[in-house]
Amino acid sequence: MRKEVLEKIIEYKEKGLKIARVFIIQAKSSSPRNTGTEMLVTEKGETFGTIGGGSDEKKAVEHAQYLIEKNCSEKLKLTLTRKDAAKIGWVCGGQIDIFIQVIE
Amino acid sequence: MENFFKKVMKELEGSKRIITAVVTDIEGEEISENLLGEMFLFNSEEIIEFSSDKMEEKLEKYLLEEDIKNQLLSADKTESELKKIKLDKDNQIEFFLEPVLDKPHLTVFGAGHIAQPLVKICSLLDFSITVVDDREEFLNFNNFPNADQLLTLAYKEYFANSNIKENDFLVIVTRGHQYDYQVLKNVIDSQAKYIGMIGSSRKIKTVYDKLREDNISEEKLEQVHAPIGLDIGSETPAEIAVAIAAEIIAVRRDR
Repeated sequence: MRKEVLEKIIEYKEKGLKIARVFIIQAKSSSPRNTGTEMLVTEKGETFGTIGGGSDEKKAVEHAQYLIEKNCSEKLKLTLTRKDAAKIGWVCGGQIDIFIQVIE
Repeated sequence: MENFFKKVMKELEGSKRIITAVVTDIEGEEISENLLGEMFLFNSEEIIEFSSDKMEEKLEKYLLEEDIKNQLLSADKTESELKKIKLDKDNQIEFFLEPVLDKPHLTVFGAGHIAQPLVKICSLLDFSITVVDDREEFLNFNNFPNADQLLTLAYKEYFANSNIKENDFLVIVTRGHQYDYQVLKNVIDSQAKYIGMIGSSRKIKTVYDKLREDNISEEKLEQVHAPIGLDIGSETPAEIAVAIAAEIIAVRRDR
């Protein structure tokens, strides 16, 4: 976890916002560096940081909003398309596991 | 959970490396699903804080077992990792273990012709960057659009308030060897991960000789990267900046 994310979590919580931290816990690709990449999502779908953009990030944001509503955390598996994978610097598509942690 | 994150923030100010663990998966009957997403904070010696009472109550008895505790405390201090821990024969928890890191910080002493391309290049490398110089005409955001902080003050004043830690990278490129000496003398005993100083071998010797007179040990002097930068035959300021940036990357990645 990076300091600027930590600061942002505290800032959001002090404002009374409901948020989730979304982060990559496993990446099946040649680039293990992506593990730990994280972003914050608010109940309204505003974001801070990115886990790579594209349609998968959109999916993650929507699911995070749903989980904030339900107030429970969950693992989510995403299969990256070739195009989206290329955007975050991967040669091939791949699968990433993300965790959506609702911060109450 | 807000208080937990505040505690993490507070611990980050200390000198010990800290790691967070998040429950990302649960297998077994004993542990309830509602612990998913709960956390605890630890360093290589002990558990510092749990994110909730229910988390503490549930995990306490398992963490008393040496074997389980050791598996956690031996976590990698620099990279995140996903770790499955067997609590007993029926129960298993998966944790995402992750070091908490302050962004590495580059401080450039001297706002001259090397500093400008250096700050530009290092801004691409995930550093927060400060440039210090007492010359206002050089130190402005026109010259350093990518810097996070520009400090127009005498080096002496800077050191009165500085707190250099182990994720600090220092580059000394001031306008004269008397200033290089002044800066190096003030940082040589710090915990900085990298200290580099520019100069010809003659200038470096002059500075080192003065530091020897100040009773600075040879061992300390050897840790200073001078001449600065990897030897790639650089000639122009931008090329020298590339060599310095490459050296900084190598140190940061423990090469």
